[in-house]
This record gives sequence, structure tokens and C-alpha cells, in this order.
Amino acid sequence: MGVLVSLVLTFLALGLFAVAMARHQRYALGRVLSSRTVRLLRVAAWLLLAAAPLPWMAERGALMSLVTWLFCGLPVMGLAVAAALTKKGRS
Amino acid sequence: MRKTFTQSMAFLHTWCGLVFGWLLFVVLLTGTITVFRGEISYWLTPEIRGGLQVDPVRSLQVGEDYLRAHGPDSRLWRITLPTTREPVLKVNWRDDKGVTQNRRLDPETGQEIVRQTEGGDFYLELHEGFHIDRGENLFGFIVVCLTGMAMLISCVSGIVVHKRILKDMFLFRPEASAHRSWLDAHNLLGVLALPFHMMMAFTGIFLLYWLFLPSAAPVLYKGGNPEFRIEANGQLYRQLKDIEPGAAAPTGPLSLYVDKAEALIGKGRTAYVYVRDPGRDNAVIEVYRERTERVSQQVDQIALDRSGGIIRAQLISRMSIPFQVQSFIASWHWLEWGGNLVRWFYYLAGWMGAGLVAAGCSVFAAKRRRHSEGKAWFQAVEAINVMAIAGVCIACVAYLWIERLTPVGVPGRETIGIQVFCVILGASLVHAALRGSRRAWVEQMALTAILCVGAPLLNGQILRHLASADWVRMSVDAALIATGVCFGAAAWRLRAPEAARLKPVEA
Repeated sequence: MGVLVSLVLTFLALGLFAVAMARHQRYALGRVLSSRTVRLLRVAAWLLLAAAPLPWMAERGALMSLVTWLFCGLPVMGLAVAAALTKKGRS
Repeated sequence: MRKTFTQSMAFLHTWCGLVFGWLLFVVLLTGTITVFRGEISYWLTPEIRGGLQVDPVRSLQVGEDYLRAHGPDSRLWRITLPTTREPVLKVNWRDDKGVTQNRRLDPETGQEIVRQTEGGDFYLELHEGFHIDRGENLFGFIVVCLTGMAMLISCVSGIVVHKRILKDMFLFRPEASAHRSWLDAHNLLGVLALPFHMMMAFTGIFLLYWLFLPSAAPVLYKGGNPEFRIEANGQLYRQLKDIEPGAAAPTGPLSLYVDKAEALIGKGRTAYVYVRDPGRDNAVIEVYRERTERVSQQVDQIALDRSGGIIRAQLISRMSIPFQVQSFIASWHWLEWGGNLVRWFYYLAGWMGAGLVAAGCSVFAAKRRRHSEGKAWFQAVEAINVMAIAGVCIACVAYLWIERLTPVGVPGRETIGIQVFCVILGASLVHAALRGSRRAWVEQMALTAILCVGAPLLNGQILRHLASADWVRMSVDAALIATGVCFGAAAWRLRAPEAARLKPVEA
């Protein structure tokens, strides 16, 4: 369960980072967000990203979880975000 | 004209990436598959009974009985206990001539498993040395080392060359031109998993330090590699050829020694046991702990003498900090910890690495297609691209078919896998040269898909796995089918000419 929560948090964090980028806003949303919204999105994304590995670490031990999350969980969820943005951009 | 730093890096990234990319794809793909090598070995051996609840004490006794019967005068025994990943008992013994005999046994009955197969280790051999026997020469290891260095160079130069990787971090436009789509995929797979790629390249080189710095140990330890290994690996190291076997003296049941060792390393934590000079008065019994729940390459090792006295207790927790750091970093690459969850994540991230290289090679071709199509050198590059990527994928799956279809007992069975692998690469190259690269890509990707989906159906084994609720083998079946579906989707996607897919996109 902790792993799943971590992955969802990572997905949300990376999703917010993506939406805070101008190129992705134009591609996926078709418009550019205001700079204030972008700043808020980035702060929220950093907070979520900082919290993301914690449930995983609580469930499976700090060292093992951190290595797996950093090297594998993060890129795999990043790929999921990219897939979601691509789908949104094409719809 | 003087080149700028970025231009120099672009040249390096392009050519280093292309030439070593062809080799790198094999290394990365086979490395990715190697994550499940135990499961693949199990899957490839239908004689191993599935669904066993293995008792380690019983298995140890079975292994000991077998070795007492078959290698009583051996200088070295090794018993590897069964695991849920590979529920088979492995025994090895070395005779007077130094020849190692390997057998796999049923962990309950001790019955020999006749099928001799490299199993999942086939991919490991390809990954670490292109399946060139390291006993013969180190050429394969050296090429893999150079490839690892090229990967690090390509990662660093790629950061310089692809300037917008952070701004366009999640951008993928499949409806754009081939060049742009492949470049998006290359950037996406590269930047998202950059820490993983660099870590794997660095730790891969790190593990082969003895190849990069061959003179360091002999010079610092005055020609004595054993002394270096004792200090570096922290393990008891005894060259059998330097020590005469002692006088005959009975060695007690191995379970007694294992019980004593497990008082230090944890009950039921033994992974394998070595017995040096069994049945002699100088016998040494070494008990090694499993690694599953520790991020550590080194393992706890307890060495006992014949009377059960502890000669050496090498526990990771008591080792020096530099040693623990070395062991920690090396274990990132040599994945023995974390269980199935971590293995699946490494598997997915590994595919991202392989995809990065495949996309990079495709970018090279797509970028130059308009100006260079028809030129001999470009046709050669395109054909090699097909062979080095699609051909390697076919060959990797075909190995499973060959293993399952070659009857047990055929002479030279152990080498058939690598022979067929090489033949398939040759056929893939010829096919790409004759059919043209676009058709060859589609056809070879489709063939990979068919082979992946078809492998679990061979001899109707998927039904047997379902019937016996054998989750390990069913997982391999499921992974093969899922991989096949992905290859099928890729083939379907590539079949349409580029012009038909194009849609105006923002530059």
C-alpha cells in the first residue's frame, strides 16, 4: 500500500511539474497558465515530490526504498506522466 | 573552422552513441532480462517441480548426501539452497583435476535434473562479456567495459547537446516527423531515467575495477592477488592448489555447522554453503547469508573448522565504512536484494535504457534519411541499426524457443543457444539489406512479437502453469505476452509510411 501511495504521489508531483512548463501547457492544455499559477504548481510539485518516497520508506525500509524510488520509481512514473500528456495532447 | 564546445560534444555524442550504441543495446537489453535470470532458468526447466514448499534443512541434507555419494574425494563442495525464484537445489564439486561438476537436484527427492541448460545465465553471459568465455580471454569483458565508458560519455555529452531536455522533459509527439518523434523519445527516455542510466554505467564499470586497474593489486600487494582479495573482499580465501588435503577425518552433518553459523547470521538465512577439503582434518565449512533484504553486494560469511569452531565471522555490519560503501554501491548494479517489486522496477527502467539507445540510433538515421538515402554507407547504417536492435530482440526471444525445442541429451546442447543467436543476427542483417530498413523494422518487430506471445504456448505449458498455480512461471508467461503485445503495437505503428502519420506540430 505504501509503495502505491508513493507512486501516486510521484505521478502527481511530476504531473504538476509538467503542467508548470510552458511547452507542455501549450501542447496538452492549448493555453499558457499565468506566472502566479505556475509558481504555485511548482511549489506544490516540490512538496509532493519530497513527500513521495516517505510511504515507500515507511513500508519497506529507508535505504532499499530510496534507491528503488530514485532510480526506478521516479523515471517509470515520469514515463506515465509523459504518456498521459501525450494522450491529452492528441485528444 | 574552429568548433565550439557544443559542436564537439555533438560530434562525440553522435558517433560515440551510434557505434557503441549498437553494442550497448545488446548489453542493456540482456542486462534487463538478466534481472529475472533465476525465474527464466526455472521457466526453461519443466523438470523442476512447481509449487514446492521447500524446507532448507531437508534440502541441505539432500545436497550433502548427493555430494558424499558422488564427490567423496572432492576438494571443494558447494550447495546452493533452493529459493522461491528457483526452487531447485544446486550442487557443485571440484575433482582432483580442478574440473567443476555442476548438477541440479530436486530439493526433496535428490533426483538429478537431466536437462543441462544455461538458463537465464545465458543473458548474463551476454551482458557481462558478449558470451565470450572469460577463461579463454577477456576480450568480451574489455569491450563491455569500453561500452560502459561510452555510455557514460554519451550521457554527459547528451546533457550538453540536447539543450532543451529539462524544458521539454515530458514531451513526446508521436504524430510528428520520424526525426522529431524519435528525438522526443530519445530525450524523454534519457532525461527521465538519467540517474538510473548513469548509475548503471558507473556501477557496471565499478564492478570491473580489476579490469581497468589490472596492475594496482599486484604492485601494492607484491604480486599477491589472494592477499588483495582477502583485504578487499574481506573473505576467507584459500587457494586449493597451495594447500595439500589433510588426513582423512569425518566431517559432521552440515546442518550442525549451519545451525552454529545461523546463530550469527539469522535463522534460515543461509543461501549457500562451501566445504573445502570435506572429510579431511583441515576441512573448512563456509556458510554464506542471503542478500535479499540488504542493499549490499557482499554477504555475511561464517567459516568453521571441522570441530565446529568459528575460524572467521565476516559480518557486513562490522566492516569498515569504505567497505560498506563499496558494497552498497556495487549492489545497485548486481541486483540481489529487494525481491520482486524491485526487480520489476529495475526491469522497467532497464527497458527505458534499451529504448533510449534504440531511439538514439533511429534519430541518427531519421535525421540523415532525406539527404543520404540511397548512399551505400547510409544503407549499411540502417541495416546495422535493424540488426543491432530488432535482430537482437528476436535473438533474445528465440533463445527461449531453442532451449525448449532442443531435445535433452543432444550433443553440444549447451552451445546451441549462442550459435543460434549469432545466426539470427546475421539473418537479420541480410534481411534488412534485402528488404529495406522500413519493411525490415516492421517485419522483425512483428516476428519478435509473435515469438514473445508464442513462447508460453510452446508444448501448452501455460496451461500447466495455470493448473499448478505456479506463480513464478506464470509471471514469466505474462511478462512475455506483455512484451509481445508492446512489440506488436510498435510494429503496427511503424507499418504506416511516415507521410500518412504526419500532422503539423509546433516547432
